[in-house]
Amino acid sequence: MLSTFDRVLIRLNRWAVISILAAMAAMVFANVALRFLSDHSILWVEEVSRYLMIWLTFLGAGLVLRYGGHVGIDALQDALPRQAAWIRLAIFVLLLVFFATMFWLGARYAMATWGQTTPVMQIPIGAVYLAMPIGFALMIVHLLLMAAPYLRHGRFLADAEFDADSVKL
Amino acid sequence: MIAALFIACIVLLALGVPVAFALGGGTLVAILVHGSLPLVALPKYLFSGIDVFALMAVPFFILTAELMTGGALSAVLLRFASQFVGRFRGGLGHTNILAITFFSGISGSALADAAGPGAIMIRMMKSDGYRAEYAAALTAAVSILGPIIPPSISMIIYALAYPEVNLVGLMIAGVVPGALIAVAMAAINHVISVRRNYRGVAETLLLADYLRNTWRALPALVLPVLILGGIASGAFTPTEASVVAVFYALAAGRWIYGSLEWRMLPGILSRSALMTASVLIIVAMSAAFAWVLTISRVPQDLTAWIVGMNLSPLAFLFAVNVLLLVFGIFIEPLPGVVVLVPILAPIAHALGISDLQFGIIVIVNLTMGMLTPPVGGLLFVTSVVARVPLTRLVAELWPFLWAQVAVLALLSLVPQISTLLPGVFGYR
Repeated sequence: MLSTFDRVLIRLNRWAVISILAAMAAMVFANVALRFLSDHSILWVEEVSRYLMIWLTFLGAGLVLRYGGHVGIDALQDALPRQAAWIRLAIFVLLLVFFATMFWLGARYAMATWGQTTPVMQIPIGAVYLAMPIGFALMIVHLLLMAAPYLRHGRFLADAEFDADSVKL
Repeated sequence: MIAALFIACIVLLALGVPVAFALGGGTLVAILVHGSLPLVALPKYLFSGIDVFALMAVPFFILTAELMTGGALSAVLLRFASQFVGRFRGGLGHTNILAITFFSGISGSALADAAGPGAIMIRMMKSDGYRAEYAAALTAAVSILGPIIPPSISMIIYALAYPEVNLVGLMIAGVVPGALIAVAMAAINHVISVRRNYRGVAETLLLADYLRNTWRALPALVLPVLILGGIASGAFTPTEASVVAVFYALAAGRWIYGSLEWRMLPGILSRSALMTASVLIIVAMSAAFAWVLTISRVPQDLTAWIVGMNLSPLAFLFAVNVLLLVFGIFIEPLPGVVVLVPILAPIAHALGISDLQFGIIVIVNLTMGMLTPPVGGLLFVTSVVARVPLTRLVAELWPFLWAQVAVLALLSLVPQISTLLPGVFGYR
């Protein structure tokens, strides 16, 4: 069903969020353990783990989109089954416009802040903020890849690992 | 500008645009309509909304619950709960309630409760002669304890949306109301079990059985004690407690219970990561949304207006409860917290209502929204597990819902239910 490009993208995206979350957990835990054992803590852990969380949010949002895992109200589509395809088209176009705008705003913001550095690690803040344009670019790609099944049937990616409702909180 | 914000958000939401992007899109429209506000504020607040170390407890508590959901652990908790309440009338129902209450001390979300021990209990109740729709309704109703008994994802987001409230105090404040809801659910289960003659579990337990069941359950029961005790005593911040819980759950699942295998980790991590992303993208967008509200002075003006009406605190709480119940029919708890709390919590504070009591009322009320269709997330999960249509499940749900409304009224009338325990630890 899925093209090779799509399968590779989903796989890379999945491993990206897995590694980020694993890294966050490992470094924050190491810091707590260190604080209890030696009363010291690694200064950069708090900063780096916060930035990883930002990247996780933006890199994960596109994949969540694929699974239909973003919380929303589907009542209108359910109430008007004959117009549902048009409603989905409207949602699709609005999302595309919004994602493109956010990509543009995010890219400008990352460039504008590139000269500043983070307090502890002294890396460019723009490198952290790059999460936003890259994340929204990824959301655009995922949105385009899911277009056909979504627009025609309102279908999302199905997977044994998630069903859409279990991804919501 | 504020009209543009609300109209755009409501149109986008009603159309079916995901909440995160409806909030972001509405904010974008509001900035464009205003004309002289800088567009750069949007990315700025998007980042500052999630660039918060305290938020890291969200992915870690999600991960803990996912690690603990494995079969062996739920079974151990169930056997432990069963030895206390199993022999009573409707024993399996009571076991369900008690086991989910324990699990709520590990998990921070209602769906984790329903999908973890809840799913196993539904199957057990079905095969023991309970109506499938009753088992599903009971499980859905009890699962709202997930975010009420600490830890709680909703409370972490609440404390972020209204920084005046202390997160640790709020978590401690959830304990007694959570227990009260569990007791209310057990009362309904008792009445219905008598009426339908749902019998208890007929097994004679020897002292040795009690000891063995308790011994087996001990490693799992350490976790709620570690989380709540660690946070309440001040040994851990909530974030530290959450990450310690992750590694404890990992070790317990792998080496004590043996139900967790290394090859399951990527799936658990990716599921947790995506849940985190879907939560935090809403938090990020709502930070920009809240910024537009604040510069338009909406919370301040609304507070002044309502305080000027000389409303009694109880009348205000009544109005808030009705508003939230209606809101909860359409909106999930999390968007409800990020949108409504920055507006409502300052008003409650100005009227002299305890921040902790108000926080508990809001969280209990909005979580109950997961039980009301069309966006009743808990109903979807339990109806799928029990294989019953939603309409028949809802028919069985009403007594539980009314009991919860009664608890909500009690929480509104008696602030001490929420404030007494945190007061012991010095939180006001």
